[in-house]
Amino acid sequence: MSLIDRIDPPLDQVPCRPADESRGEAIEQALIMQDWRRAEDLLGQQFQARPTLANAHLVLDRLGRIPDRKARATCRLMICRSFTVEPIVPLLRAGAALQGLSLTAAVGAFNAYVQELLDPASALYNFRPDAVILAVQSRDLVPDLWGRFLAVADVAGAIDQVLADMDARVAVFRAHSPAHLVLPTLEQPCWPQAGFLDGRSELGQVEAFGEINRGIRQLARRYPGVSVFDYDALVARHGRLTWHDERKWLAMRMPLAADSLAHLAAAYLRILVPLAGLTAKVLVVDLDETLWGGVVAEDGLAGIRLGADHPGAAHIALQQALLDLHHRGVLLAIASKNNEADALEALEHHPDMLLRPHHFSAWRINWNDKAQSLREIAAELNLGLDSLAFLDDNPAERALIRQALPDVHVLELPHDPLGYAAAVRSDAAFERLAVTEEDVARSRYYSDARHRTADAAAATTLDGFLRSLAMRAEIAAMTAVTLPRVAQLTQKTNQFNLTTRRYSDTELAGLTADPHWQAYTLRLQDSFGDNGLVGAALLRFTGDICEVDTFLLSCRVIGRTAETALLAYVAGVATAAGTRWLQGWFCPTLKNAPAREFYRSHGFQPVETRVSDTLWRFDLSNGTIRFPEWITCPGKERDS
Amino acid sequence: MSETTFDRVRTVVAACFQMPESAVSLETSPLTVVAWDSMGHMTLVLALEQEFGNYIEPEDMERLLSVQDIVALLER
Repeated sequence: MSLIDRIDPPLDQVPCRPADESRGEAIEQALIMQDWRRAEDLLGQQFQARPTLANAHLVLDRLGRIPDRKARATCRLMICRSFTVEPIVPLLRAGAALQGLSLTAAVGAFNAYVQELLDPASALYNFRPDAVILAVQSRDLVPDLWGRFLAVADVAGAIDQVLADMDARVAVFRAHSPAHLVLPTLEQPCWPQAGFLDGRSELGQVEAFGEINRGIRQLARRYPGVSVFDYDALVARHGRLTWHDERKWLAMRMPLAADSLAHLAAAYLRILVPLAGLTAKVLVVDLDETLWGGVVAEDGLAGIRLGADHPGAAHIALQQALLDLHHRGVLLAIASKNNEADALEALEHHPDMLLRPHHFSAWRINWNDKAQSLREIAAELNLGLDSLAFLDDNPAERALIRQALPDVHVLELPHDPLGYAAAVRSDAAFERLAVTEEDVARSRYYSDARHRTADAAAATTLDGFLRSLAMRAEIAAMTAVTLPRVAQLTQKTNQFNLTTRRYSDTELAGLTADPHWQAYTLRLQDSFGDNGLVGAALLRFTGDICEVDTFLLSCRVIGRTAETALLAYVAGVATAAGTRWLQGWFCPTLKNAPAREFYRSHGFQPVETRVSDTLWRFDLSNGTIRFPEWITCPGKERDS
Repeated sequence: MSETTFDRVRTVVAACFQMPESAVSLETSPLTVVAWDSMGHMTLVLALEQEFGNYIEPEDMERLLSVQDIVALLER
């Protein structure tokens, strides 16, 4: 095994099954015995060892059984996204719960993040989030720069455009919500398309992404309450070659490999946890075998292992990490079972020591119980125990503190000291987002006057966005060729489906053989490509009435007024056929909330209810349904 | 005690759909579990990949219509 594997073994090499089982039994036992502290510790270990979806659900379920378990903080999170991200949510919630954060997470409509940001009446703003994470990837935001780079005529222009668009969206968001916004950097492609030659151009692909990401960081600094999540660095850290799952991306828009999910969730939590204020103000460290190798009382100043070579180098790396925390504003303290004189002499005089006594705000170097030492340190610094974190190489000491002082954040360390520095650097408790000053700035920024002007800007930019999609709709009568796809849509579409009536190929064929029935399909293209056949309407004509038996739209194209286009077309058909009334039922299900306001928003009136279903009706002689002006439709029938 | 494939699949299915393990049998399927819709199916497949370390192809995903199908696939 390589050195890296020893420090941080990949998930599939962790000998987890026997440990998991016995730990699982121990968890159940602890719950039965009502030893809530132990149960929670074990659940934390279980999830830390294997942060899988199954363990996430286990954690959430078992923590839910602990009575009176209060969260230390809460957070309402909205994830606006361009790809499938739902599987992350249980991992986020479990990881958050274990750190004392009660997370309510909602996921925005598929690939509707632009509309949600630009429309002040969108679900995003209605949700009143505390934090918003934008989960977008290069492939969706800049498909040409990602996959067709060599064909892009004006790379600099494309970079400017994506940054300008993002700025406009952030500006609107900032004016309408006090929530913290998290923007991602865009991930580099695995291989630059020009290969080695990419580095020889003025503005090659790698540099282009670098420029975009630099622009995103600058953008975030211009607004209060906006931070950058370095997604590109996360992907690189775990390996571009294995981060994505191309086959699942093509099949179901799920771009992440199963093993990447936990890494993404942990990375998000490194922002959400400090955002919720769950940071550690003080890190209390042990000395022997932690700050240096060896035991100073036995090995003496000259004998402890600290220096540029192995094994001292691991401890130098840890000290550097602690020094970096110190510069970030985290206080350092010492709790060590030692002779104070020996310990202070080492700290003061060892030539390779990076940390000196003046870096520490308090210490208890004696032979007392460490829990007592931590209590005294907290008291001396005038802080609660929940402001403390504890770093000790000795698992027995860690377990003792977890048991005796449950409010203290005890870092889990790997067996090998070479992993200590990373354990400190990756811990969310030491991240700082500089929220406090920004809170003030944000409330100044969020003012009525700006709100009014921003509304006008929002309308333009939302329209501008819809226009920029260059949508082209082909609406036509269903044919024998398109029938199977329509049947499939009736069976699979749940969200934008007004009546959720399921039809097989044969049933559909039977219906449309009847002259009273007509079926229409919607095919949608846009600037990103051809979405295919994504909408369908089944109509039944009886006398004066055209009833919409089925009206559905694939969730891929919700939120772009394509549904209005299809409805306008249907209204045109009905009018041309001489009918007066256009009507349709809305049958609410657990999933079709996105379609609930559809008829109302187009001027239909409710005329009948049957249990929970509502019949909506539109008088074609007395109104029009306007075809959206930003969608072109060859051969469409205009409303009357 | 070594667990059978079914035992391990049962644990994952029970966890993902928040059911008691005793309620999960070989016949358990999307028809008998409300939460087992298309998103639930994808999440379940990801959870199984994490648990077993096997990659499950999208073509195979479509054919997993019950716990029995899952066990059969993983034992292949």
